[in-house]
Amino acid sequence: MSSVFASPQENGWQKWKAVWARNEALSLLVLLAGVIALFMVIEPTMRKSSVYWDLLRQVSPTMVAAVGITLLLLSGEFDLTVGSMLALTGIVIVDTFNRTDNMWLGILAGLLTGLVIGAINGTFVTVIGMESLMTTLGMMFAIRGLVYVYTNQTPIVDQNRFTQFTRLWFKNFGPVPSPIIVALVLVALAYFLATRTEFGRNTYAIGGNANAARVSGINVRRVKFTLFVISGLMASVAGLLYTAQTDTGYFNAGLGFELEVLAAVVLGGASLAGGQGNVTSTALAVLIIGTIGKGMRLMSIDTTQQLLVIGIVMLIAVYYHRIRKQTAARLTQEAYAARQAARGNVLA
Amino acid sequence: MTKQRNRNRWFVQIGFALAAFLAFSQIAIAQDSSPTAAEMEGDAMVRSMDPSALPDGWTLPEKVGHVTNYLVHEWYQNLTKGEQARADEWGISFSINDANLDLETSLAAVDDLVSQGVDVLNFTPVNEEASGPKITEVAATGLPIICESSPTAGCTTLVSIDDYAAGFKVGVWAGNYVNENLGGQAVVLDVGLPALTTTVARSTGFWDGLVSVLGDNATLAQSVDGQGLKDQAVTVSADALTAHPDVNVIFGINDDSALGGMQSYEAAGLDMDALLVVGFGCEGNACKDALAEGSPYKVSAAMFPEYQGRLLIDAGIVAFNGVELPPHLIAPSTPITADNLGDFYTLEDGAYSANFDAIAQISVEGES
Amino acid sequence: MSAEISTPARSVGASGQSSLQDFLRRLFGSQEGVLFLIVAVLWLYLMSRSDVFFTQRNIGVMLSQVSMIAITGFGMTMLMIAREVDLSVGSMQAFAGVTAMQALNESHSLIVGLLAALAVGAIVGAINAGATLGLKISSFIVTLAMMQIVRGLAYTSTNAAVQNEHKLASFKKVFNGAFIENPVRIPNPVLTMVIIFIIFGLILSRTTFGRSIYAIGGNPEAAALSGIPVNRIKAICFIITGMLAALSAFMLIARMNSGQNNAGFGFELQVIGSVLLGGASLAGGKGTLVGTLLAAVLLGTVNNGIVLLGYNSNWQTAVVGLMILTAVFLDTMRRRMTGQS
Repeated sequence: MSSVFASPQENGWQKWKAVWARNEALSLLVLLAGVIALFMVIEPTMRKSSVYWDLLRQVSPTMVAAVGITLLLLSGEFDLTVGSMLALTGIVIVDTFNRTDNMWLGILAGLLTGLVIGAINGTFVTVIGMESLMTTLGMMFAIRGLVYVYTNQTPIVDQNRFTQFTRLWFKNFGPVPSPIIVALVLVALAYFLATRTEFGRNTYAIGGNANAARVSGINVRRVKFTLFVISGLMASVAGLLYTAQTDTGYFNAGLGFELEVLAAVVLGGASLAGGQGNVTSTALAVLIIGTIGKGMRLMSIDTTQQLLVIGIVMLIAVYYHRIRKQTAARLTQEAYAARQAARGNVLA
Repeated sequence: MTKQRNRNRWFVQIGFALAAFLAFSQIAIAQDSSPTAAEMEGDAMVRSMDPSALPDGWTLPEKVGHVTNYLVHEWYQNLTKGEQARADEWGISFSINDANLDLETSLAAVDDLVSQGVDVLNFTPVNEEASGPKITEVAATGLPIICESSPTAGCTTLVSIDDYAAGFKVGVWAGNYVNENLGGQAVVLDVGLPALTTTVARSTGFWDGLVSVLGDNATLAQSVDGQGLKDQAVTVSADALTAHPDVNVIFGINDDSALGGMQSYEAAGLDMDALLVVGFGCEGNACKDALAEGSPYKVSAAMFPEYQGRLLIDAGIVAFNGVELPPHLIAPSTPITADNLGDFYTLEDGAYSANFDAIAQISVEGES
Repeated sequence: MSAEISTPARSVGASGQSSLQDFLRRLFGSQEGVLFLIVAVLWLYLMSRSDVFFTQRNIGVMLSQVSMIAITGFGMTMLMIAREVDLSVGSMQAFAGVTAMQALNESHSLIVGLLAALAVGAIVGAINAGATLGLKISSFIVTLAMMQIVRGLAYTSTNAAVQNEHKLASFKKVFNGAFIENPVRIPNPVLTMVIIFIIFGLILSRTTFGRSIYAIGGNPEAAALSGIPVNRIKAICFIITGMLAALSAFMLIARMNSGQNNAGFGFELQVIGSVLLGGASLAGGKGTLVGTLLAAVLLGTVNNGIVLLGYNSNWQTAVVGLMILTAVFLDTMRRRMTGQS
C-alpha cells in the first residue's frame, strides 16, 4: 500500500514513519519489544528465558478467546459471555469426565457447549434481531447463574485424574508449552479466515457498513450467526485450556475475563464500531498485556498499584492508536495530493 | 463469676470432645492415619523456633515468597505483616504476590515466584481443588510449599486454624450467652459464604456448638450468602431480617459479614439490646473496637493473623531442613471477648499489637 | 419513544373506550409499560406467596437498596441517551465512599463529608469527559480504564475499611433514617431517590438542555450543525453521572457505617443493566428515567423475593440474566410489531 501512495520526496525518516503509521501489527511488535526491554533492565528475573515460556503458556486461553471476539467485533457485534463460558465449559468437561469416565467425551462435550451457546447468542441477535451487547450481557449473568445453581458453588473435581488431559496444559514440546501451540494454530486459522477467504472479506464489509454489505448481496445474518458460533467455540477452547490447568470445574472461573479480553482487543486496535482490527494485532496485544502483568508481579508491585498501571497503560495505548491512525490518514492524503499535483504538472 | 467460668469450661470441654471425635472420624475416613510421631516432633519444633538459636547443622532459606489470594483484606495484610516481621528477625528475604481473587493470576504467580528462585513457597489458594495440579507439579521439584487457610494437594503442610472447632467454640460461648442474657431462645441468621469449604465449616461448627448448649431452643431462621463482603452482607441481611424480624443471634463467617448483618439489624430499627452478634477472625480494628465498645458484637473466633504469619515462616524453615511435618499444623483460635481482648492484644496509639506469648498458650489439643 | 411519553395530553378528553384502548396501547407499546406490567405481576405473586412482602418495612428496605442503583442510573440514563457510557461508577462506590468517610473523620462535619464525596465524583466525571471528548477516545474504553484506576486509588488511599470514628448522629439520621413518618414511613434514601428523579425527570423532559441530550444521541452531526454545544452538554452529563454515583456512595457508607475499599464490585453492570432494561440503547437517543426506575425496582424485587421466599440465593444471578434477556426480547418483538426500527 505504501508503495502505491509513496511520494517521491520521502526521505528515510518519513519512510519509517509511514511504515510505522500504516502497519498496526508492526507498531504493536515495537511496543512489545519496548515493554520487554524495559522490564529486562529493571527486573533481573525478566532476563530468564523460562519466564517467557511461562508467559506464553499463561496467555494462551486469553489469546484464543480474544481472537474469537476480534472476528466477531469486525462485523460490529459483541460477545460478553466469554468469562461465563470459561466456567461453564470447565464444568461440562469435568462433569462429563465423572459421568462417563471417558476423557474424549468430556472434551467433545466442552466444545459442543461453545457451539450451542454461540448458536443461541447468534439466534437471539440474527434471527430475533436483539441487540448483541444487551443479549450477551443477559446471557453472561444467566450462564454464570446456572453454573452457580448447578454446582451450588462447589468445585467439580475430576475423579479420574486424567493426567493425559492436564498434559494439554503442562506438557512441553522442547521448551514450547502445548497450550500456546493450540493458540497459535487457532490464530493462524483465524488469520487465514479473515484475510484469505470471501467470508473474511464479507465480515470486514459488514463491519464497515452493514447496509451497503446487504445491498451488495452479502448474507449479513448468516455471516454474523457463523461468527457468533466461532466466538463461542473459541471461548470453549479457552475454557478447555483453562480447565486442563486446574483439572477442576470451577464456578468462579473467568470472573471479569470478558473485560480482560475486551481490553486486549481494543489495545490491538479493533474498533467497537466494527470494520477495524485484525487477529495478529490482537494476539500481540494479549502478549503486551501479559508481559506488563508478569513484569509487575515479578517486581512484587502491589495489586492495587497494578490496577492503576493497567488503567493508565490502556488509555495511553488507545491514544497511541489514534495518533498512529491519524498520521496514516494524513500521509495517505498528502501522498494523494502530491500525486495529483504531479499529475497536474505532467498534464500542464 | 468463678462458677460461671467453670461452667463455661465444662461446656468448652464437651465441645472439644465432640469436635475431636468428629474431626478424628473424618480423618479416619479420609486419610486413615493420624500424624506420625516424627511428624508431631516437627510440629513441636515449628512452635518452639527461636531466631537467636538455629538448631545445629541447619541452614536458613534465603528467599521465601507468599502467593496470597486477596491482599486487600485486612486478614492478609496482618498475616503478611507477621510473616515479614518474622522473616526480618531471621534475616530472610520475603516477598508477596497477590492474586486479587483471580485463579489464573494466582497460578501464574506461583510460576513467577519459582522463576525468582524462592527456597520456600507459602501459598493461599483462590480455590483449593483447582490449584491442586499446579501445586503438585511444583512440589515434584522438591520445593517446600507451606499452604495457608485451605488444604491443597501437593502442600508440604497446611498452617490454619481448625475452622469447625473454632466455630464450635464460639457456638458454645453464644449458647451460654443466650441462656444467661437472652432468655434461652436463639433465632439465628447465618451470614455465610457457601463458596469456600472453610467458611462452610465455620457455619456448621457454630451451629453444632450452639445446639450442643441450647438443643431445640436454637432455630436457624435463614442462611444467606454475604460473599464475605460488607456491602453484600448488608444487602442480603436486610432482606432476610424483614422476613425474620425475630432474629436475635447473627453469625458471620468473617468480621465484615457479622458487622454487615449488625448494621442491617440496626437500620431495620430492631432492639439492639436483644441482639448477639458473633463474628469470625477478629483480624482488624473494626472487630476489636466493637468488642471494646460493648456493642451487640460480643464475641469473635479470633484467628491471630500475626501469629499465623510467624508460624508460616517457621514451618518453612523446618521443612527446608528436611524435617517431616504433619499434613495440618493447627494454628490457635479462641473466642475473644471484651473480657479477654486485653490478654491477647495491647492497644497503643490506636494500634493493636499481638501478645504472642499469650496466643502461643492457647491449646490446640484435639483439633484437626 | 420519548415523544410518546412526554405527550400524555393526547388521550385526555377522548371517549371512554378509546382512552382505554389508548391506555392499553401505551401500556404494551413502550418498554416502560412492559416493565410496569412485569413489576405488577411480580408484586402480586410475591404478595400471594409471602406475608411480609407487602409490609411497610420490607418495601422500605427493598426500595432503599434500589435507590443507590437508581440514583446512579438516572445520571447514566442521561449519559447513555447522549451516546456515552460510564463504567467507573462501581469503583466510585469504593473511592468516593472511602474519601467521604476519611473527610468525616477529619472534619466531624456532615456537609464536608458530603462535599468531599461529590467533589470526587465531579473530578472523576470531568476526567472521563476530558479523555473522551478531548482525546476523542470511546467512553467505553476511557471509563473501562478509569474503572481500574479509580479502584486502584481506593485501594491505595486506605489499607483497610475506614471505620466511623466521628460518631455523628446526623450521619445515620440523614441517610439512614426517615424524615417522613406519616402516613407511611419513607426512608430517606427513597426520599432522595424520588427528589432526584423529579429534578432530573423535569430537566430531561422540560428543558432545552434535556431536549439537546436526546438530539445529540439521535444524531450528533445534525445536533452540532443546529448549533447545540455537543461537547459541553456531554461533559455536563459525565459530571452529573460522577456526582450521582458519588451520592450513592455516600448513601452506601451510611448504610454500612464504614467506607469499604472493596465495595461496589459489579455495581456498574447492575446500573447499566437497569438503564438498558429501562429502554435506553448504547446507540443513544432513547431512554427515560421512568424506565430506569422501573427496571431498578424490577431487579430489586427479584433479589428481595428470592430471599423472602427462601430460594437458594444462587438463583439471583441467573434470574437477573433471564430478566435482561426477557426484557430485550419483549422490546425487540414490540418494535418489530409496531414497525419501529
